[in-house]
Amino acid sequence: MNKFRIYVLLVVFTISFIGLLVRLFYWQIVKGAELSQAAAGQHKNNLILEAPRGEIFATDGSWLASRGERWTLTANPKEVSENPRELAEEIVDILSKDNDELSDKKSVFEKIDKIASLLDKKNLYWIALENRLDGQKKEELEKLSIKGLGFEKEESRYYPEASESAHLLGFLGKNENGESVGYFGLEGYYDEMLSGKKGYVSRDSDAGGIPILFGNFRETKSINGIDLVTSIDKYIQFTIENKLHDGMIKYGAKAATAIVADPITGEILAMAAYPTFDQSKYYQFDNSLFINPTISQSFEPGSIFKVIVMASGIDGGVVEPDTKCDICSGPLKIDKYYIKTWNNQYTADSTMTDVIVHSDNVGMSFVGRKLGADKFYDYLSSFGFGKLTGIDLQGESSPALRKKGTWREIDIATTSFGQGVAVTPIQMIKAVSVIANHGLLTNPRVVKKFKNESWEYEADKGEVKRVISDKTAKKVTQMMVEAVKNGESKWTNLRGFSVAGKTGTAQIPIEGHYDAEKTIASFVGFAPANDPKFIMLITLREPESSQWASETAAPLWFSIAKDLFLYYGIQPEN
Amino acid sequence: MRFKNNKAKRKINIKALILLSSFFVIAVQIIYTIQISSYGGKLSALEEDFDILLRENENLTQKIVESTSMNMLNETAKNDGFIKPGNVMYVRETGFVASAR
Repeated sequence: MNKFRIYVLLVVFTISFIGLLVRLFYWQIVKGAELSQAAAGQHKNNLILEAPRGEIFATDGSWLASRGERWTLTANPKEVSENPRELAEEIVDILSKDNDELSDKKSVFEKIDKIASLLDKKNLYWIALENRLDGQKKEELEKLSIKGLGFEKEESRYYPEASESAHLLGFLGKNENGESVGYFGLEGYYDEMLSGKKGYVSRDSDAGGIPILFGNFRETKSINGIDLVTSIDKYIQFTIENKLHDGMIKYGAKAATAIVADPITGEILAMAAYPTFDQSKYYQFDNSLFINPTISQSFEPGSIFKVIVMASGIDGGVVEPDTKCDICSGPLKIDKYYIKTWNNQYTADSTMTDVIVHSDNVGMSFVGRKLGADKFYDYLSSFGFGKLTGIDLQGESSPALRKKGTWREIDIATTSFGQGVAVTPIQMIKAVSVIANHGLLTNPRVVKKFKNESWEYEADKGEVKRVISDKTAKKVTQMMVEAVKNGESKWTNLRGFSVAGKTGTAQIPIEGHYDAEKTIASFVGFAPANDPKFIMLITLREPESSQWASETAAPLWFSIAKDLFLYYGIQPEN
Repeated sequence: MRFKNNKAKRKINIKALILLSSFFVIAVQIIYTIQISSYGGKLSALEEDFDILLRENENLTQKIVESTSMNMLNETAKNDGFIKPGNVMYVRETGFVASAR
């Protein structure tokens, strides 16, 4: 009997032991990986270390773009116990406060439907209900104390000047993976530098989430984004933005651009274009508005191009300011074409200064012919036409120059007065700066310095090249001063101030011919002429009040220059 | 007999020493464990403080950014009664000049 009991016990123990082994095998081998992962989730604390995006500063150290704080409202539908529709109504009630997108009943109901349907997806653990919430709305939603709702910090931007400088700065958008990416302007060009790199911390923690210091610890440090210090002068930027906008309305133009730069260093002081967009609500605007016309849109420059051709002619030794034009007594016939002056008035034996002052197309054809196709091409190329200026803004484009060796006589003639050639506003600024800068070609730049908490370094300014001699630059400057004093825009001139400038009225080519009514009016100039503090280019597309630059772009240029004279403390010469 | 007593005494001393050392090591271990655990709590509290300060710093920076906005300054100047000079006169004098009209 005793033996039987012992056997029974032995069998019971053996079965129990085998059962225990099977169970252990199940937990440790079959479910081992899953359980160890769950355990790690309980005692391991994983943190992402944020890498704040670099900020963008104006030249005086004030902000052009700063870090902002925005939140994504998230939900775990499994944990949400409220009725999805009622909860959606509560959420939308808060979201719709001061929200243009939820200003009408239709959009409010659509939003409620959308959020309710998301909350209804009980098989999901994580869904994003709304993006770009500000701190106030986050606080109001937190006060609802609803289990299952959460917030995730988003990288965002604050642009203190609102839509001003939009083309210059670009904006911070999202890529297809929902990550923040800089697009256009400085945000796009320097995106990698501005972005920084997120860090990661993994450590053991107790049940309360308190870190265990003698546990496992692993850290990859975050690297903050680099700050950009630009040459943008906020006062000048503010002035040209407002005056350009007013000027565009006043002259009934469809679009307008303005660039102000330091011709000696190539630094961009201000840049504006209309129509524009609001960077903080970029998603509400058409994509075509994001393109910066000052660096990406080409146009036929018309008469402002004449100063470049004249500088080439003088530097090339084919003309002098007092050289007389022996073909200027009437229209010039080339093949089947007639080259005429803008007012159909002709003066025989005009000097080259007269040609610039009266913006004489025949006189410019005279210079072009004297230069010859190859020399003409070489000078235009060395002034930077036909290639990118290298400005540090995303999206620059460059129209090509007609290929060397393919120039016909008519091409030489039309190009000499700025027709049949395409340029961008930034290329024009770069080229005319050569005349202001004693014949030296600089590179347009926006960023002066890069910095973070512990270091800063100057941005590369690029190579400075000589294009024309100092003597030539002085001669052309004097011709431009005469053009301002005695040319067609003389009535807009600010008396006493030494300004070197030139108007340009270019017809717009449409379907193979020029539309006589549609023009691009422009004015380029620098001041003071002999010691320039700034160079400025204004363009107005299709102004309605007058097609002539002397009545639109020129007065707008001088209206801005008047403020800049005060700002720089530039006084009249006499 | 004397010799025997000394041997016994020595045996007791070694045992006591091991025992005491063990207690000491355990006590030190417990004290340090408690201390390190409390440091974990302190670290966690410091991290929370850091987050709060960071948030406050961001809010203050935001206020400074807003107050340096040209649009804001322009509005403030207008509200305070400042106007842009309509007509600027340039004079030849190098010293201070005042004129009444």
